[in-house]
Amino acid sequence: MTNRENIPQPNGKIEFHLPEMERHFLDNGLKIVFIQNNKLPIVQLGMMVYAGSIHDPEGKNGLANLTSTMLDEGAGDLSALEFDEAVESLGSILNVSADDEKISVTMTTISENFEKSLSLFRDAIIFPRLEEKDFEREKRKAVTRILQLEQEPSYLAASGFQKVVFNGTNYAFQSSGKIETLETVGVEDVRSYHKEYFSPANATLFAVGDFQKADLISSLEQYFGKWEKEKVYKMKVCAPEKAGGEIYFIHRDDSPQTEIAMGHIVSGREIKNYFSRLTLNSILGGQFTSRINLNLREKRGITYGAHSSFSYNKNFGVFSVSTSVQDEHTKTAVDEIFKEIKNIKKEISNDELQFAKSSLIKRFPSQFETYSQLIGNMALVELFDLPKNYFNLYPERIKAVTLDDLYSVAQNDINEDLITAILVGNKNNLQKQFDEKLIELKL
Amino acid sequence: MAEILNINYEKFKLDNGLEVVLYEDKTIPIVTVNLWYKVGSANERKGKTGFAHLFEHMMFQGSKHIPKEKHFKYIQEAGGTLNGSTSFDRTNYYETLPADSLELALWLESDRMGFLLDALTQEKLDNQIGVVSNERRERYDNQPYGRAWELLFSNLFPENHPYHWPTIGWMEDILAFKLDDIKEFFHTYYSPNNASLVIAGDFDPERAKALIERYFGEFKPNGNIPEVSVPEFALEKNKTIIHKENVPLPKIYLAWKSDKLYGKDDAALDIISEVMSGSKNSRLFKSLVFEKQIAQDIGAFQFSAKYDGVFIIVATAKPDVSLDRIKEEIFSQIEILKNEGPEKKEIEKAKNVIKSTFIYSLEKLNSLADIINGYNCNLGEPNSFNYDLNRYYEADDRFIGQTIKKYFSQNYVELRIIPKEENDK
Repeated sequence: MTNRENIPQPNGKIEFHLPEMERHFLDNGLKIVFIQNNKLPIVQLGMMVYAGSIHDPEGKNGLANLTSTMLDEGAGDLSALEFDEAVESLGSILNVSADDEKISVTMTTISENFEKSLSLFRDAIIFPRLEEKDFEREKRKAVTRILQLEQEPSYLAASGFQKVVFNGTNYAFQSSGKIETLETVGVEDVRSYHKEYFSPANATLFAVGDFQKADLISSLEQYFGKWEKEKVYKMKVCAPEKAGGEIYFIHRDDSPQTEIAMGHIVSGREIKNYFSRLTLNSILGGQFTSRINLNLREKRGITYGAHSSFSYNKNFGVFSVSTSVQDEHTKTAVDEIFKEIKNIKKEISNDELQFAKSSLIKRFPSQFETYSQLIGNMALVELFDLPKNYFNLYPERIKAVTLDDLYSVAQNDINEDLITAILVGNKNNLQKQFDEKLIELKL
Repeated sequence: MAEILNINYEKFKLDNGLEVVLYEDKTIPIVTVNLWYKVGSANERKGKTGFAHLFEHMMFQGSKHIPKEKHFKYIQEAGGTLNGSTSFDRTNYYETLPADSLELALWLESDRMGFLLDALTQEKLDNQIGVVSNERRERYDNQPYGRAWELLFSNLFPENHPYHWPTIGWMEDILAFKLDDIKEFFHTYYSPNNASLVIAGDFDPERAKALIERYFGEFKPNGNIPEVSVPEFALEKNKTIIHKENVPLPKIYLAWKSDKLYGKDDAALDIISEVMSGSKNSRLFKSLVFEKQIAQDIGAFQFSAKYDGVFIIVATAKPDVSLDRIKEEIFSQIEILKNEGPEKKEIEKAKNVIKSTFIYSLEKLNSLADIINGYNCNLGEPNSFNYDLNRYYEADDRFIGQTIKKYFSQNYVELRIIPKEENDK
């Protein structure tokens, strides 16, 4: 019989070499950040343009997103269909997306088709056609998409949360916009938005994969070197009004579950408290074995999962908890989440701290496996102006977190009186459970 | 290209029938353990659905030497990630860990293979009935169009077909899980001779072999694993289902019985789906979404599994467009394809896309291990990337043309999911 009583201990020593992020500026000021990795014949490129939806002009919410969808609807000499055909014939994948702060274009290609793919990637970014008929089609699609989203519980909860908690800032809107704001957007808006925000000074280009450094730089110089240098843009600056303490509901018929989003804003991303917050959250709700999930899922069985996080944009941070719970247990779930938040301010064991630190530190190498992860890590450093040795110091910084640090962030950064809760579900069912006034929220 | 897809591996079988595949890759210091049990919802029966998926939950509830919740804790503490998934034909469990923690994963995996029932209690079952029923609510019942697939499959496949019910199970079956039934199911299917273990990444093969023998070698095989019986069937006539729910836009689904995974028409059907909806230039997308703009989106899929397959076309109507109009256009495009076949150029393009997908799939260790395990279980050969890719290259335009005629001349199931207040058009 094999002895199974004892937990096997780690064997051997982990030697992990952080991939080297290199930087280079083209003559026109375009910043290139790259990691060479010749294991597979694949190259991935990512262009991050600081032109996300917080830059949408008032009343034209959704413009940044529409602009992003237009980038691959015809570019350079090619019509929308021809462009798509060209990308596909190379077996390459081109994606465009917009979030609140940036528009991203990524291209994945096998290395033998790198130059041809790069040319198309360049055209989508610098020379999109932005033609009227393509615009009208994409706009109709964007409007219809919102109709669809408005029946999705997670979209409703996220939109409600943004609207209330980020009130007074441009982050209060979904990137996809609203039907009435999209209707005011014309093709000229897209053209001028593209002209205003797409420039080498307002973008960063990331590359990962199978290339030689000198070849990469000379190719990028060839395709992006002539991109006109225009004025430098700074990301919009804003701060939400402090609000909170209320519970809102959004009515959705026939909901067997209630989608819950709750939380409040916190101060922005800074090295001094980032790691303490990360570790605290790992204990509270960041992992499967965190307190909130164990309570709602493994103890009560009223949800498939519950999570909490500290997340950040350029201007501020957010503490939030989200879950989807069986309708009749909504009140229990909200109460238990509050209880867990109160408890963590009073008591955290050293075992929990050591567990969280071990998990975060040892998981570190696996964050550098895929091309998308590598580009994401480079983008993080650029977007938040993190120090160049940020990742080198990451394990040490986690290691340095103490119980006092955790109590400090739990008590200072999480304030249950400021928590706003958004509940998406059946109105009658929710009102029955919550005696205190629920406020109906219209999006 | 063929060289990159040719992977080096070592395969062997323990005396108790457990198949093992070792694949070394020392790029970064992580190792992944990927275990397939050849049991899925196809092994269930009417009134007792959702068992295989339930085990995907119960397997994380602890076993004789592992207290409840500790499975997750140990893996997370070691810096690992883990999960499992259930399909019609198999359940997979995997852990990806720092290279020094291979033994931990083998200890955990083997304990639940050999000693799960020692720790299975009514209390744990009740808790997971709550979790699974909430998973069902979150992923299907409370999502717009969330019940579409189970409605299609249960209407296309007859009641005695193993793909008649959804992998998560019917809600009334989930709420009625019985401890004894569950134990019986585990005894029957979770034995070493019904499993396949892949270890991939940074590890020492000799040490791995010794550990596998040590942790899995003492389990007894089960000689009585029932065969799944798959009835032959054809729809006698077209079948239409109207389902009303809280959706903003009507959606139409069309489903034809197709070919099973690695069946002789399977690859051709994949190419056909690419030709129909794989890009802006594909037949259905270009016509319905790009030019006529009557559909918001359209997709065509060849869904193939071990015992059978379905070809599905799904489209969402734009506001104020009737599903009749959408259906008419889909069928007129199918007619053109039936009569003229796809162009050589379209087929070449589809093959290019599929080839790149193969290369891109090598990027992530954990998904690579899963593909290798799939090849081992379904084809008996872990190194089947080139074989798999060649299936697509061997399908020429003539064969693809015949395949279109063969499958799209059959009767089909039509499902319409429409807003509650609307009539059926």
